[in-house]
Amino acid sequence: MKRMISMLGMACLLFTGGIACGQGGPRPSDLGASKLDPGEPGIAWYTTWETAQAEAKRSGRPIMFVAAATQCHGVSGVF
Amino acid sequence: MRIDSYETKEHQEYVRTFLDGRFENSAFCLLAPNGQDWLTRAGRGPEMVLGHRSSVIQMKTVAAKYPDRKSGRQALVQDFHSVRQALNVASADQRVLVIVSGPREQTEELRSSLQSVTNDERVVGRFHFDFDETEDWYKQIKNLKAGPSIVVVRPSEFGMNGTVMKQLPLAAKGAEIIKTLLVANLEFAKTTKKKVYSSHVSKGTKLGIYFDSVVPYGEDRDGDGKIDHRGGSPRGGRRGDAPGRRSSP
Repeated sequence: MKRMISMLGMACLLFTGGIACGQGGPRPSDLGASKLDPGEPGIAWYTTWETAQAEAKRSGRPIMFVAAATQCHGVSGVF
Repeated sequence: MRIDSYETKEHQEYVRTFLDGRFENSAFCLLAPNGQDWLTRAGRGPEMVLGHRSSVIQMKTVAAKYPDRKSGRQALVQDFHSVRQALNVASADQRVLVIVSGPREQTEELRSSLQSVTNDERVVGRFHFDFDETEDWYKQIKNLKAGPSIVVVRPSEFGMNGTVMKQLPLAAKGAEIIKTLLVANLEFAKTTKKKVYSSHVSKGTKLGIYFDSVVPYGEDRDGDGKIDHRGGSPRGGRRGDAPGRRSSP
């Protein structure tokens, strides 16, 4: 549980700056630096619905559902 | 869980499910472990749904209602739908990517045997993991030796390709895999410049980087089923509903 709570906190931190841009989202110039240094631990995301749901059912823990774009104006390497 | 809104038509439909039929770049909702019941209303992000100041507190409150039933040490291993997507996400998160490559009958066992690796406190949250039985992605990875293996990959700056940092046999022991990953992560951290996303996008645009998508880029904010033209009319009214039983994917 402690791990999940810390992950949830991290999720909020990351999500404030990590949303890819688009029509209704931030402009590219609004996107700041990554919240983490390379190599630092962040959220252990599940990246398919199937694995996430299977893990939630296994563990009995709730799901933080996040959908976002992995590009900004077509430029990849942004999430 | 975090999915790419544009990765597949199915993902686009997931997003529409949470946004009253609209399609927007991002969506957020807390769901019960059954994946069906909404624990919060839905919106574009946690701050929209939970408030700017209380997001973390509210998520802690929700989490506290669902104590661990099973050990986190046996959490399932992450996967992606494709190496192409895994490279992109690993690049975005600035993490080393681990690809378990080989025929399903040879790699399936690793979905459970790797749990001791992926849930190790020195490993968790530092890497992305992907299983792939095809060879379609081989050309995207430099210095790759073809054949079943565990491939430790440094994603390129824009995640369009990657370079092998280390390659291990599928039969490698957990301790050896962990040791290899820790060394790779250290090297990656030392030699990777922290991303500033604004300059990243600007540089990518100048270089002509373009990540194709199955779903056309853009939003359908009026929920008519078609992607709006830029600046299309957003529909007012509710943004997701109160918690309750919903037909999530």
